Amino acid sequence: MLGFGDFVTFLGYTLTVLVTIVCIVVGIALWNKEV
Amino acid sequence: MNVNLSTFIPILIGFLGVLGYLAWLGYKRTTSAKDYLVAGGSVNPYMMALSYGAAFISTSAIVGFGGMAGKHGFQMMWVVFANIGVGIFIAYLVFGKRMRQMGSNLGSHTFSEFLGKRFKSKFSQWFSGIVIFIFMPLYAAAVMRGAAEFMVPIFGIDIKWLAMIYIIIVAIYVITGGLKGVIYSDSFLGSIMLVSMIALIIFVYTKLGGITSAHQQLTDLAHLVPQGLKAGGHTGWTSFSVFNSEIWWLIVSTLTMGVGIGVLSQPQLLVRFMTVKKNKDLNRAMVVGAIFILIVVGGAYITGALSNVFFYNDLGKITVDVVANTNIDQVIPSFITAYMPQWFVYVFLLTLISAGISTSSAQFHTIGTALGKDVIEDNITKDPKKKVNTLLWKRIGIAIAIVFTFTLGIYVFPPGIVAKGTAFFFAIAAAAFLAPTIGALFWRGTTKAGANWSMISGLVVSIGWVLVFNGSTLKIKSLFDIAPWKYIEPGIVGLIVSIIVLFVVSIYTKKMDQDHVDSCFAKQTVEQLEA
Repeated sequence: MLGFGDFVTFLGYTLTVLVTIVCIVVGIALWNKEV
Repeated sequence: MNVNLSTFIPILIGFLGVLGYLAWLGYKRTTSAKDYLVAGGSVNPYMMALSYGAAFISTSAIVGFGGMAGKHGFQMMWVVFANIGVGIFIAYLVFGKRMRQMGSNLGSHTFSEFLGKRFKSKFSQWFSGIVIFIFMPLYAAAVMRGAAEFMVPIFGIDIKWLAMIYIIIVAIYVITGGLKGVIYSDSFLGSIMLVSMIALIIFVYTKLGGITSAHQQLTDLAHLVPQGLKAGGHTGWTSFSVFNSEIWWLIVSTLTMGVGIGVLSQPQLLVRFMTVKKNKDLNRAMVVGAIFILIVVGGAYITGALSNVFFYNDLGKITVDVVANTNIDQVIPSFITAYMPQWFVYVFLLTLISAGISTSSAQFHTIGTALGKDVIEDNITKDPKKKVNTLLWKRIGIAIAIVFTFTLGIYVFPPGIVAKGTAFFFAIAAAAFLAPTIGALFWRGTTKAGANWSMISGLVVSIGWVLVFNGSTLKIKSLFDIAPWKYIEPGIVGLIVSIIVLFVVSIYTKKMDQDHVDSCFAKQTVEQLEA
């Protein structure tokens, strides 16, 4: 769990990175789309 | 922080020179009220994203919240998750697009004007303008005081003079350059913040042998949690607090929900969605915005939490025991001074000044235009000939906002109010503005009465909650002292009430004119977008 002491904190850290990746992927996928 | 002024002052002058140039550029390119209020409505998406992030993240967000992570550890990453998930992903992909499109359909240039035109209600406009003008200076004063406080030991000048110099610098470019000046400067300031926080994260993780090793070393310190924190529910810097404890409510209710969701109701951020021309600009801005928040906010929290390992390895003490008087605002500055090279101390100082100035400028612009345009110009000067394209009221409004904020921050606020003032305005904004904004953007059935009563009830309930249960929000004594009620965020309580009121009142009151609602929700044609 990346050295974290419990699953909830590990989840908070991981989801933070994941949601950033989602923003980047979605942003690039819709780069030229007027939706 | 140890600063050699003979080295730092020339750097600072160069920095101010760039800001001055950008202010001049904003002034030169501001020829209309639209330029002044929404930067002409055609801002580059990268600049919009940096401006949104820089306006959102203040000095106290880096120093204060970073210090809080030194105390409470990695559980605060949930706040960053909410900041990005709600404040960027939902805000840009869903909220911002509706806001941009509807704002454009209605021809509105401020948040209050948007509500007023959407609900065909002068009351919505001036009431929200008054709420912004009265309550936002609490937040603005907190940000100004937070920025000035950390500079006092560096320059050895009284806080009044430092705050005066700070406010004059911000005033010059906000009053003259309007939102164009603000956005140009924010892009520069945001870039400094981004670069320095990237360097900080790389340094911290590299020094501790990588991500997993760094976290594991912090996990191994769990037995050092002080008794006082344990009593509050603290279980270690890499694990979550005990359910329903004081710290659990702080992290979940005040920080993750209050700040995370509250960002959707911040007028100075919402107005930035009206500065871009097309939806695809927001898609592009989302990429930059998410990276910015992850690096700048996440970087401050990671550094704050892992500072415990650095201090323990070198001094045998955890972070809160290292800083003077256990003042957590000193965590990040103490860490930077102890472990970073001298050149980085200068860069970091500019980062903190940038964070303060960019947030303050957005606040002054919003408070000033709320007063100058939404309260005075559009209500008092009834003669249409008198208000044609004039920038005068807006500039006067901003000047009044700046004087008001300075007085409040220096002569009225007690020391240590920085985080409280920020949290209080987030609570007020979420309770008063979020429900009517969601109703305006997403529910055709929202009525004028529903929106207005929702705004009033949210405001009254959140202030009432502070007075009755949660006085600590404003450092006052409340009527009752009952757990867990005293830990629950007033903004969340106000928001729940305002959502219910919006829904119930809208069902039973007169519907809005269908043609008007259709025109609000109308999708723009390619020709309109290109125009």
